[in-house]
Amino acid sequence: MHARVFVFLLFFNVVFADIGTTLTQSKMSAFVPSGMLTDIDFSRFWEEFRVDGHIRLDCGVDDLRDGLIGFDAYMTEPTLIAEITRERFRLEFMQIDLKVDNDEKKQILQTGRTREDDAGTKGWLYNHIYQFPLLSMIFKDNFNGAFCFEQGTTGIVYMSELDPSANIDLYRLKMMPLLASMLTEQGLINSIASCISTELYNSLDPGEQRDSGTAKIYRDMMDTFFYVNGCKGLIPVGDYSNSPDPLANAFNVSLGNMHLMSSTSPLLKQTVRSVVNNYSDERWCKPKTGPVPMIMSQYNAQIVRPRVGKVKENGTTPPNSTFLKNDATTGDNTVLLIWQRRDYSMFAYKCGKRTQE
Amino acid sequence: MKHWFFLLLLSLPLFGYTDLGIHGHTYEIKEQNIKELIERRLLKLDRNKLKQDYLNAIEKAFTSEISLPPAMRDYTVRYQDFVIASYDVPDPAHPNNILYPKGSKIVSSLPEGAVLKMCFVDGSDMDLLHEVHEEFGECDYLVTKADIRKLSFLGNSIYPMNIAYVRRFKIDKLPVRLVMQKDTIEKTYLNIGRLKKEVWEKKNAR
Repeated sequence: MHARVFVFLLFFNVVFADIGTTLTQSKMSAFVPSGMLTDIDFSRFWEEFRVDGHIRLDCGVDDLRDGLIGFDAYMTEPTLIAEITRERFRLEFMQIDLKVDNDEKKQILQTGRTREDDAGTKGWLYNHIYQFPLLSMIFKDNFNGAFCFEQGTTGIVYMSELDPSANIDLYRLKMMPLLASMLTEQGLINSIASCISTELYNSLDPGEQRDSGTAKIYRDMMDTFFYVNGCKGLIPVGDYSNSPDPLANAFNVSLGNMHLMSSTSPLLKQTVRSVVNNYSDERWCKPKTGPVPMIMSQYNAQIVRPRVGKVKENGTTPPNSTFLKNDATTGDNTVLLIWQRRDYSMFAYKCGKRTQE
Repeated sequence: MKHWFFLLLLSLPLFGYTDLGIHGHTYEIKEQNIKELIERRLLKLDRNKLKQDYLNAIEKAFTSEISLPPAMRDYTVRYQDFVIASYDVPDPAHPNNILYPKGSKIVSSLPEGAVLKMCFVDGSDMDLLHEVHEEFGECDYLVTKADIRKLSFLGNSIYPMNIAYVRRFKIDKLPVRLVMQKDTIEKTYLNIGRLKKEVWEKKNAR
């Protein structure tokens, strides 16, 4: 707590007195492109932000702009928007229905079923993931070096309507062979351990999550069993979820597609030190691509539409539809804000775009 | 005696308090917290421009811009499909043990009886694409250089070519059809020179 206040005062001359419980309870209006205002609690940023006393001198210096000395730090920020809809090309985040010329055509599944047939009974869903580097959008380079907000454009990185794996499940087995190799009976048994760890980790406050030894054990368990979505079982294959609850579907399917993105392209970088990257010290200095699995503990999700909920670890029991009992909505169309954590060396971290190696 | 002296000393400020008034300039302490800072910056964002940026990105998503060289001969290759473990993958049954050591082969298999057909094609020449479609037939088409919304003649399963699929299946030339069964992939390349000749002959025959 003292470290963050000190650093902020020292380098930016921005004075703020209360970064504790006041903000924890506060809500604020957040930007959404359509003009729709949603209350998002940004206090998570300060709750998780930490600077420890360790001075780092080993981040590579490529040119004079790179810092020489850094302080080990840790932060989280919103970076992605994931939306789930029941309607093809419905862009819930922007409140737009995209008209597509051949939209009337039915997508034929390998088995001969149509997605439309399944939509009513088995829960086929459409998933879109947008890049949403909110803090770098609003602060530009103001705090560059100190925080190193996620850079990037305001693009769309995934549309399930345009992905064969989302329409024909078997492609997903091909695209994620490592994940597929884990879909075993033992994998399911492991989901029990993953479930317990995830729930326990989620119940800790952000400070404990970061610093306590017990939390590290939970985190390692979550990351090791990367193919298990905590208490929700194995990572969903395809844009299909068997859960009768639309909110649970949103969390499941979005996470499954984030796994696909991590497995098949260098789009999602690893920004935290974890058991699955052997606690690589390189992550203090710059984001890295791969190895294959997505680091579960790097991301957590917060439902922001139809209504704002709490930030939740992946794999925890998501809010169910009783969460919306006072809203005139089914929750079929859902928007999640994805938060991304980062271990980094303050002032020595090589900030950059997602495409940067 | 000593104690009484200290008590007297401690009580002195109670009687010695004097308001000295205010001298010189005074400044209001202005606090700027991060919540307000974010809120103010959010208001400055051009929402319409941002929305348009997203819509432009979505519009572009229907057309892939991947460039790959044309195949210059007809040929077929068949191989076992596998990926290389890029790190030591822990054993799900015994997390302390290694299931796939870094660098080892992980074979990718489809369930018994399942067959997938995926075709990677260039859509910059529509006549040529029609010819490719005649030869490949029903397939899941991944198309580059054309808006997939205008290619309904290819069937019901058309997608913009995604670099992830190109990398995963090591696509180096176009057009190519992949037939996937069990743990094998059969790649069939079509000779673009031959196809162009056939298109030209058909046009002349009309």
